[in-house]
Amino acid sequence: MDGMRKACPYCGASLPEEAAFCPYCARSVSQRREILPRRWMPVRALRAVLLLLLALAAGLTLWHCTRPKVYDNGTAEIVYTDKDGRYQLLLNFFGDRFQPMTDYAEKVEEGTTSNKPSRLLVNHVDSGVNAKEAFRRKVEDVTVEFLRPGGPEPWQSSGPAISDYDQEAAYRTILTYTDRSGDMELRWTIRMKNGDIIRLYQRMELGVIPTRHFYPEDMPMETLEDLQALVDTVNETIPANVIVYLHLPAVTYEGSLALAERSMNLVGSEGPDGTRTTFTGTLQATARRGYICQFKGLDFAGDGEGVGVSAAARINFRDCRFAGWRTGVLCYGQSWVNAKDCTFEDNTVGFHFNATGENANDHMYSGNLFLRNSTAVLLENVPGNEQALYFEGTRFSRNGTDIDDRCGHETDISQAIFE
Amino acid sequence: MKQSERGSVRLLSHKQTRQRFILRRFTGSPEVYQRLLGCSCRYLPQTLEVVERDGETVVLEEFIEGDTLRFLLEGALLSVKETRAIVRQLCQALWVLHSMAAVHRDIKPENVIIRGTDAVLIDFDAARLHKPAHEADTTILGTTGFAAPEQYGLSQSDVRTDIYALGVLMNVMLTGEHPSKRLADGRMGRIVEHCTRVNPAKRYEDVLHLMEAL
Repeated sequence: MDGMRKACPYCGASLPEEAAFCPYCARSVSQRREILPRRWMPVRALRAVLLLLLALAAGLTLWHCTRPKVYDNGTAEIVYTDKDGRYQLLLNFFGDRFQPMTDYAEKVEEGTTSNKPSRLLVNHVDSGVNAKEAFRRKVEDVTVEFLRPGGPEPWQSSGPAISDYDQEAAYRTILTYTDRSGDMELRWTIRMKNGDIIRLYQRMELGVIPTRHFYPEDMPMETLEDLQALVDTVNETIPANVIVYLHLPAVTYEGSLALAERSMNLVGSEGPDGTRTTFTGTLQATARRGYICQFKGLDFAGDGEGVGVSAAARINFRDCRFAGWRTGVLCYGQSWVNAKDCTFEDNTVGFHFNATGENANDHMYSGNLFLRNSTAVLLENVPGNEQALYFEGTRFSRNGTDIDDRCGHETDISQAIFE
Repeated sequence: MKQSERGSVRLLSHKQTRQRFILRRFTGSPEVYQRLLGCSCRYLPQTLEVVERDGETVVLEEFIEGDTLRFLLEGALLSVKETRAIVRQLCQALWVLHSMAAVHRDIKPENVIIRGTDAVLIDFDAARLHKPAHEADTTILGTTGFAAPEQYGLSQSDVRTDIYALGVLMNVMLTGEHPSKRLADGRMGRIVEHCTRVNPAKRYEDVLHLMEAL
C-alpha cells in the first residue's frame, strides 16, 4: 500500500494503485464494462423462421427443378438432359456428326455467292447412336437467327428444316452468303415441348479469296496453243491461293489441253450463231493445288474414241456437254468430279467414277441429261461410302445401261427421270 | 441498516459531496464483488470498492434509492405486465452475475429495489462462484421459501438455483404466495412451475431461456 500510487482522474488526489474508489471526490476510478445479455430471439420465432426458410428453400429447389431450363453456353455444343437420357446437341457445317464447329473461318471468291449448311446433330451420349428421331419428337419448334447478319449483302438462312439429303442431321438450314456478307454469328433456338430452351451458336469469319480473270480481249486464247500457253503462264506466275478464271471465246479447240500444277476455272461462251466453246481433244486435268476447278459452258465433242475430260483434279462441271466419246468424263486417282445441268450423249460411257481417297465432295448430280450412252453412269470406285449420290432431276434417256454400279455405292434415283 | 451474524450493512454519507453509499461487511468470499468492480449494469448497484482482510470482506457500493419489492408487495400484488417487466430486468442483472460464473443465491423481494422503472438486484453476500467440481453446497445460504432444493445440500447451486428463486419471486408478485401453496394462473403459472422444478435439469437452462419464455 505504501508502494505504487496513482492520481484520481477527477480530483487529482493521490490514491493507492489498486484503489477503485476515490474517497476524496466519491467517484469510481475503476474501468467498467457494461454487460448486456446477448440479443435473444424466441426459439419459437426462430423455429418458425427456420421452418419458413426451409420451406422456402424446398420450394425454390422444387421450382428450380420443375421450371423450364435454359441451356446456353455460347457454343455449338450442349449436353441436354431430360427424363429419357442425355443428348449431345451440336452444330457443324460438315463432317463427323460428333464434331461441333463453333468458330469457323472461310474464304470465298470475289463476286460469288456461296451456300453452306448449318446442321443440328443429336447424339445419344451413353450409346453414341444418332438420336435425331427421338429428339425431334420432343421439339416444339426450332428457329435460326443471325445475331450478326454481316456486311452489305447480309447472310440469309433458308430456315431450319428436316432434310432428305442430310440423313445425319436432325435439322439443317442452308446459309447463303457472298464475298460481301462479312462475319456472322448464328443462333439456333430449340424450344422443347417441356418448356426447356436450348441455344446453340456458330460464328463464321468470312474472308475473300483474291481472284484473277482473263478475257480474250486481254490475252490471246483463240487456239489451243494460245490457251495452253496461257495455262502454263498462269501456272508459273499466279500462286494457287488466287482463283483464276479463263473466259474462253466461242471457238473450237483442236487437240488436247493439259491442266496441270494448279487449278483454274474455264468458262465457255456462246457465239452469235449458237456455237459454244468446244474441245475436240481430251482435256487432261491433273491439277492438285488450289481450289476445285469450275468448268462451265463448255462442249466436249469426240469422234467415238478417247476421253472427253480425264480428271485427276477436282472439278465441278456446270452446263457442259460431253458427246461422242468412249468416255465422256473419267474421274480417277484421288479426285472428285461433280456435274450439274450437263449433257452426256452418244458416249460409250457417259460418266465414269473410278476414284478413291477422302475427297468426297458435292453428291448432288442434279439436272443432267444422259442420252443414248451405252452406259450412262459407271461407278467403279467412289470416294467415301457414307453418302449416296443423288440424281435429282437428272434424266436417263435411251441409254444401254443407266447406272452400272459396280462398287455398290449407294445412289438415290428417287428424283431421277427414266425414259 | 442491517446487522446479522453474517455481517452488517451500513448507510454512509460522503461529507463533501453528500452522496450516500452502502458499506457491507460480511464473512465470506469477496470474489463476486471483486468481479463486479469491473462492470456496470443498470439493474445492479455499482460496486465501488472491495477489501478483504482476515476472512472479512468490506464492500462499498452505490446506494440505490427506492422501495424494496417487499415493501411494494405489502400493499398490493403486481400485474402480469409489471411482473414480466421486473423479472426481465432481474434476468438481465442475473445475466451479468451468471456470465462471470457467479450465482446470487438469495433472490427475494427484500433484495430487489425499484428505482423508478428499474428493478435493481442487491446483496451479493450469499453469492458464490459456481465451481462445477463441487457436488454439493457446503454452506446453506439463502432465504427459506426462495432457496432452491439444491441449496439445502442436495447438489451444488448453479444458475438454475437463481432461476428457481426467480420463479418463486414471480409467483409471489402475482399471487402473494409461494407456488407450492398457490400457483399463478395461466401462462405465468406455467413459467413459474418450469422455474421451480425440484430437479435443476428440468428448469430453464439459463436466464435467457426464461426471458424468452416471458
